[in-house]
Order: sequence, then structure tokens, then C-alpha cells
Amino acid sequence: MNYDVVIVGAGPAGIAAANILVEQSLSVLLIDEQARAGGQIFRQPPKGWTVKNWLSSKIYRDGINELRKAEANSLIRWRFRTTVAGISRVAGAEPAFRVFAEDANGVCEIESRFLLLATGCHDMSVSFPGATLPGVMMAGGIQAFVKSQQIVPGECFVLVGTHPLQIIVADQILKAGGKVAGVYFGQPLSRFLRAFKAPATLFRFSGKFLFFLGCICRVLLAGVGIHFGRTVRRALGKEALEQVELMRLDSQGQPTASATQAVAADRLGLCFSFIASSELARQLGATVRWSAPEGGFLVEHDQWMQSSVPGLFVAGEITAVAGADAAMEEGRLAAFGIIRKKMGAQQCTEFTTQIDAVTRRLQKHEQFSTLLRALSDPEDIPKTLLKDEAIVCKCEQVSVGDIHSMLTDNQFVSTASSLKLLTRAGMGLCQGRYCQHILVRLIAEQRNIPEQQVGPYTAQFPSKPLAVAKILEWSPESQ
Amino acid sequence: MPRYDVVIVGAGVIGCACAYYLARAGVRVAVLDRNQVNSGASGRNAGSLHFQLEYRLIQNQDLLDRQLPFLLPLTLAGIEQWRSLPEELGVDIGLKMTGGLMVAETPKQIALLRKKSEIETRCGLNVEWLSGDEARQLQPGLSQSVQAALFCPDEGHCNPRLLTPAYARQAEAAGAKFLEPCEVVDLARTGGKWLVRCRLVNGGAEETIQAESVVNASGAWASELALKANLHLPLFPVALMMSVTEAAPKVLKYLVQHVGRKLSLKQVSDGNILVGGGWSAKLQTSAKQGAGKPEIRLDNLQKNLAAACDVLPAVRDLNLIRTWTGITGITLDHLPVIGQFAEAPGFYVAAGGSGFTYGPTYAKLLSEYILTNRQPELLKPYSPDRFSDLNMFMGQ
Ligand SMILES: Cc1cc2nc3c(=O)[nH]c(=O)nc-3n(C[C@H](O)[C@H](O)[C@H](O)COP(=O)(O)OP(=O)(O)OC[C@H]3O[C@@H](n4cnc5c(N)ncnc54)[C@H](O)[C@@H]3O)c2cc1C
Ligand SMILES: Cc1cc2nc3c(=O)[nH]c(=O)nc-3n(C[C@H](O)[C@H](O)[C@H](O)COP(=O)(O)OP(=O)(O)OC[C@H]3O[C@@H](n4cnc5c(N)ncnc54)[C@H](O)[C@@H]3O)c2cc1C
Repeated sequence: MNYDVVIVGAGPAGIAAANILVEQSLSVLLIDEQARAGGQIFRQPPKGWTVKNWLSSKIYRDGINELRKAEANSLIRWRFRTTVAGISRVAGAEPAFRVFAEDANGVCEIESRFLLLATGCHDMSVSFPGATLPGVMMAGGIQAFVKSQQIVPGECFVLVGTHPLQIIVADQILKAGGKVAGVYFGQPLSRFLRAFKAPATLFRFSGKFLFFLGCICRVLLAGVGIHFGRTVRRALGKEALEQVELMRLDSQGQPTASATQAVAADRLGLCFSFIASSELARQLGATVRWSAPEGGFLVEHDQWMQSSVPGLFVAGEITAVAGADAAMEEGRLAAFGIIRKKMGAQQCTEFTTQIDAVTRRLQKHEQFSTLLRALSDPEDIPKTLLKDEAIVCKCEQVSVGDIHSMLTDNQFVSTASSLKLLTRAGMGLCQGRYCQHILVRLIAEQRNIPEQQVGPYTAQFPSKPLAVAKILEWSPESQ
Repeated sequence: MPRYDVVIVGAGVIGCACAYYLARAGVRVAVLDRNQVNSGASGRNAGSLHFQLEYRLIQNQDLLDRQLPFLLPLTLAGIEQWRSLPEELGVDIGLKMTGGLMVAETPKQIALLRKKSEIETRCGLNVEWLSGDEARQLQPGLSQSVQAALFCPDEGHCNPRLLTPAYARQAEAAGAKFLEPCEVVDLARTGGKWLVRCRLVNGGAEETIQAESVVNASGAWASELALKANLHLPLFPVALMMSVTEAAPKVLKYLVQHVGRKLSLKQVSDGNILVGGGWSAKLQTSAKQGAGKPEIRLDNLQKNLAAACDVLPAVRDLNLIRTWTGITGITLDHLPVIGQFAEAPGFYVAAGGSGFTYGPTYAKLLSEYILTNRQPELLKPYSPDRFSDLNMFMGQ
């Protein structure tokens, strides 16, 4: 199997790129581990299901049009329920990349000249005492149930975080018939009111703003309190979550002396921020930069969305978490970048106006994402939650205290990879996807060095656990 | 200019253990590495403690004849040292010396195993012959294809994640200094002293350190470092792969190796099964500068896993969670290089060989050499002098 372009990730970035690439007669394969296209935001119901009012708001219209266009395009090849476990470079020769993927039937290798990684982002996990109790979930996990299948995975929800998404999730839970006991923002209300200092941006994005106001109204009308300056201190329960203990934070995000408050709930949804899924790009050795508010370690790229690895393009959240609209534009830009690289810059003058328009819209969306980040950045709150007994690495059960004492006892350790080797944090089934950002911050703080210098965990093959039996059954072409 | 008695280049098991043995004896030691402590082969290897004769020694009569007189004493010294290490280092290093099995699946392999067992018994190594059934009785779960095995009760494994940092902490406690990550850019000897020029990895500032002696403990890159001292050292980097499964119920009590296939198997205390045996990854050309992660060879990974499943079928039902690579150094005769260069007084090296199993022993012996300025008997066959023809026009 040999393609001009393999795209990993059929979210907004991946589909927008595919739509352009096939128009220019490039052969394109889109791979996604989900059952259908759409990615995180346009998570579709299973084929044959209908979900009433699925993403009916106007703000989703452009994206859904793009999605339908791609789905209707017979030139695009798809592979769903397929996980990319690893990618290697083929030096010198074309094709330039070998993608190693797994599906229910086994594993296979796919070759491609160019590669576009549009693997998106995932929820930022935070650690606090009790965070490993059953019932503590990521808001995105809850949303995955509710959005695509209208399943409410629990009885009574508390949402805690700093991201406005939690209002949307609360609204979706309520619409699907669930109960929400409260929504708690760690930052003070004044942080949100700052948005009004940028009235021009609000006006330009009035559609989104109105949609959001609508969510707020519905949540409030349902009698759900939206609180500010409060966050989770502990999750309590015997076998599973029974209560969420909340504490007050001052405007700097530091806990205040005032009394804690306990709210009964069997589900706690955490919604702080997002972490870019840059592991496949890092497996290939692409350069990354650290930016906490934009999603941790982000893949660096040039103006054509090409990473430091020639032929490897990136788009969407893995370059900086900025939302679906920006992801689509980046996907388009990456598509033009690939076309340009394949055909040569001279052959691409016909696209100049299109490219200019994409760039302009991208700049516009960046205004919005910059504002959103300013409002929702959890800043130091994830660190505030960390108590010595809190578990950082859930897979290997490594606590904050373990990390602190390891750093104290081993002064020669100052990178995430070497602390991983010493503590097993990040060595479990999730490959460190969830604990990396916390560990990086802990090291940076204790050693007083920048996070960039601490660096990410070395991204290893396979990106997700892979059945030994499937590897044995595979027949490599090189044999 | 900072001055030390000994500057050790390389913070792997050999460098850190050397630092410990020297600092403990009152020597002023500095350890430097361009990367983190234990980030080289020492933190990436299989952790097997294999004391049975290696395949290449059984195959090469000449080498065997030369080696045999030294091997047993070295092996015995190694076994004794390992047994006392947890207490000496004062921490859990994941050491399990419960024994190791080397299995055979075909008549040809059985013949090879026989020959090996004869040599080993002759030279006094503690090995026991087991039939296939006896092997399965000892280690349930071994496949029916195993037809014979040699059992060595002293073998086992130690956790590579823990050993080298433990040495480093003890070395530091004894007064050794671990410098900020820095790369050696030049080495020169003037007025009987060594000048080690190094560049900080973060920031790039350069500094010169003075030392009476330099220990080249830079693993697979030892030849590059030697060249900086104007010496040839024919040691070549090879990239190997290691894999680990998800945690599984306790099945493996012993280290399992294969006499005719590249395979090593062990289960760590957390339940994960480690699969290795010397399958190669693709070395990147930039690996010469210490950069460039080797590329995993999936065809070799498959062969490695196939060998594992043939011997221990339970592996087939598990998930692979990680495959990684490491770079180690080998010489033409596969023996380590340990000692002082005649052409460059005060320039020592310890590299190559089964550097995890014997790393602590190599380091201890080399430290003795440095402290007494007399070559320990056991190191005689490993001296860099065997390459002195290459250095006729080199040296300090
Ligand atoms: C819980 C959550 C809720 C969000 N809600 C909103 C919202 O309301 N509005 C908004 O604008 N943005 C939202 N976002 C941000 C969202 O990520 C972007 O809007 C948009 O989906 C990003 O597009 P993308 O193409 O970069 O990535 P994604 O849409 O995340 O798509 C990435 C795709 O890559 C696939 N993938 C990743 N790794 C592999 C692999 N190894 N093998 C195979 N497939 C792989 C994934 O299955 C996924 O489908 C949300 C994000 C999260 C995590
Ligand atoms: C996958 C694999 C499996 C193995 N399995 C086993 C096994 O089961 N049993 C066994 O006995 N052996 C095994 N080995 C071999 C064993 O790991 C090595 O022999 C041993 O770890 C070597 O230790 P070292 O200290 O010499 O080198 P290393 O641990 O590689 O340390 C060398 C250090 O030197 C540093 N360095 C190099 N050049 C410079 C420079 N110019 N400036 C500054 N720093 C520099 C490097 O950054 C590195 O940290 C295995 C090796 C590999 C790769």
C-alpha cells in the first residue's frame, strides 16, 4: 500500500486537508482509531444511529459541512478503528514514511511519501488525593458518551476545572437527561469578565459567544450553580466516588484558609485544559516546544506546517490547542504545503489567493484562541492540587511524594526521561500521555530550570499497547 | 581551573561504579556526561546477569583457550560482588539471583549445549543439565519445544533502572562530583596532567578541567573519546532492541536464554516480562555524535517476539507496551577493553563486553588499577595494549 499522503487523525484538521489534497489528485489515506470521522469535536453517533439535535448549533455548521464533503468524496481512502502504533522514516528513497498501524484484524505497514499528523489533543489530567477513585472522569470522557450516543455515564455530576467547555458539557449532560450538582471554576469571575475588555474580538466571534451564553442560561435555568474561585481538594468515597470536597482559591489560584465544602456526587468531571497529542511526531524526532497554556509540548513547524522532519506535516491541536476552526485552517495550509512541496513552488501560484484567505482566517481564529486561553489557562492550579499522597502516574501508581523524594535523592536527574527511568512514572499502558505534563512541571520547579530543558518523555513504539499475537501474524513486506 | 585526581567521562554503570570505588578510597573524582546519569546502555539493557559461557566463546576455540584461565576467576569475582551489592549500596536494586536457564529446542542446539556444559564443568562453573521435562518442572510454562536446558544457579537479573543511580548516589555521598551535563570536546596531556576541555550542554559555555587521570567510560562512544586523546580504540557501536509486555501474573522465576536463538526473557517484580536477546535496531549515522535514536526494526522485533513465544507461549496473549533501543560497544574479539594505554599514561578505559553483568567488576578492578598503579591480574587479557599496533603513530 502506497499513498502520496497518509493523514493520521480524521478530525477537523485531517479532513480539511484531505478535501484539498484529493482535489489536486494526490492519493490520500485518512487513518483514525475512532469508528467514524469528525475527531474530538464532531464525534459522530455510530453509523445507523440517530441522535436528536446532534450538534445542531450554527457554530458547528462550517465544520460539519467540511466533514460531510469529505465523507462524500470517493477519492479519499479511509481506515477507521485503526491505531497508528509507530512511524518510521525511509531514508533517501520515496516513499518517505512507513506507518505501522493496528486494527481488529491485525497489524499492517502503509507507505507514504508525505505524512500529515493531525492527532489532536486530549484532556489535561490533574492529580489530587482521591483522583484515582472510580467515578472521577475527564470532562472529555463524559462528553464522548453524551455527545455521540446520548448515554449519561452516571447519576449526579460535579464539574471542576478552568475551561469554559465545562459549561458546554454540563449543558449536554442536562440535555441528555443527567443531573449536575454544580460547576466549579478555579479562577475568579473577574478573569472571565476580562473578555469584555476585548469587545472587538467578542463581536467578531459573536456566534460562539451567543452559543456559550445560551449554554450558561440553560445550565442556570436548570438550577445548576456556576461557581468561581473554587476547585477540588479531594475526592472522597469508599469504593467509588461519593463526595467531592471543594476548597476556595484566591485570585492567584492559591488555597485560602476558609472552610471546605463537600458536595455529594457519583461523577466528577475534570476540565482544566488540553494536552497536545504530539507523541507520534516525537517518535519521529520532530522538534517540540513547551507552552503550558497552549497544550504542553507542541510540534514546531514552518509557515507551511512542515515540522523539523522533512516531509512530516502537522496541523490542528498538536501545534497548539486553538479549537476546531483554527484546526481546519491549519489542515488546509498543510495541504497546500504538501502540494507545494510535491509540485514545486512555481506550480502553485494558482493557489495564492486561496492560501492568503486561509492565512487570514487563521490569524482571525488565533485572536479567539488567544482570548480563550487567557480566560481559561489553569496557570498554577494543577500544581496547587498536588499533595504528596496524590498519584501522578496512575498506571504505575507513582505519587507526588515519590517524585519529590526521588528528585531530592538524585540531584543528577533533571529531565523527564531520566526521572521516568528512575521512577517508572510514564512507563505504563498510557505511555505517559497523562502524567508527562505534571512531571515536567514538578521537575522544572524543583530544579528551577525551564520546562523546555526538562523535555518530554522519549516517545516510544508502540504509541498504544499492541497485541503480541498480532505482531506475530504480520507478514512484513521486507521479508 | 577545577582540579581533580580523576575525571570520569561517562555516567553509565562503569563510570558511576568507578566513581564510587575511587571516591570511597579518598580520590577526588568528577564524573561528566553529555546526557543524564544512566541514559546510555546502562539504563536501557536487558539487565541479565549471565555467567554461563557465551555463544561466541563456544564457537571460537582459539579465543576460548586464551580466555579460560581468566574467565572463571572473573566470573566468581562477579558473582560474589553481585551477592553483596544490595547491602553495599544500601538500596533495592531489583537483584534476583535465583538462577538462569539456557534452553535448546533442536538436536543441533542440544549438541551445542552439551559441548558448553562440558567446558563449563571442566572449568569449574556451576551448571546443571536438565532434560526438557526437568526444565519444565523447574520453570512451569516453558514450551514443549524445549528439549534440554542448562541451569546456572548464580544467574539472574538486576534492574538497570536502579543499579547505576544507586552507584551514583553512593559515589556522590563519598564525595564524587557529578558535573552539569557537558560534552568532552578535547583531551590533551601537558606537563604530566590531563586537560579535559568540555562544553556545557545547556548554554554552551566551555571549561577546562585538570586531572591526573582520565577514565574513558563512554560506552559505545569510547572510540570517539579516545580519538580526542589522539588514540585509536577499535570499539564499534551496535544498536539493540528491548521490549516489555504489560504486567502479567507471575510466571517466570528464572532468567531464560537460548543457546541457538537470540533470546532473553525475565519477569520483573511489577509483573512485566522483558524480551531481549540482541536483536538489532538500525543505527543512525548521526549516532557517532551520540545523537540520533536508533530506528526500531519491526522485522527483528517480530523475530524476537516469535522466539519468546516459542519458548514461553504465555507471551503470545500479552500486549507489547514498549520497545526501545540502546547502543552498546563491541570489539573485534568481543572482549572488553579495560586498562591503561601505554601510549598515553593516565588515560584509562573500560568499555565493551557484557558490561552490565560485569560492569561492577570491571569498575572495581579498574579502580584498583588506578589506585595502585598496578594492573590487576584479572585484567591482563583485556588491556588496550592488544590494539597497540594501531597506536604506533598516535598517543600523547
Ligand atoms: C474533550 C474535548 C472537548 C472539546 N470541545 C471543543 C469544543 O466544544 N469546541 C472547539 O472548538 N474545540 C473543542 N475541543 C478542541 C478540539 O480538539 C478541536 O476543536 C478539534 O477537534 C481539533 O481538531 P484536530 O483535527 O486537531 O484534532 P481531533 O479532532 O482531536 O482529531 C484527532 C483525531 O486523531 C485520532 N488519533 C490520534 N492519535 C491517533 C493514532 N495514534 N492512531 C489513529 N488515530 C489517532 C483521534 O482518534 C482523533 O479522531 C475539544 C477537545 C477535547 C479534548
Ligand atoms: C539493548 C541492550 C541490552 C543489553 N543487555 C545486556 C545484558 O542483559 N547483560 C549485560 O551484561 N549487558 C547487556 N548489555 C550491555 C550493557 O548494557 C553495556 O555493556 C553497559 O551498560 C555499558 O556501560 P557503560 O557505562 O560502559 O556505557 P553507557 O551506559 O552507555 O554509558 C556511557 C555514557 O557516556 C556518555 N558519553 C559518551 N561520550 C561522551 C562524551 N564525549 N562526553 C560526555 N559524555 C559522553 C554517554 O552519554 C553515556 O551516558 C546490553 C546493551 C544493550 C544496548
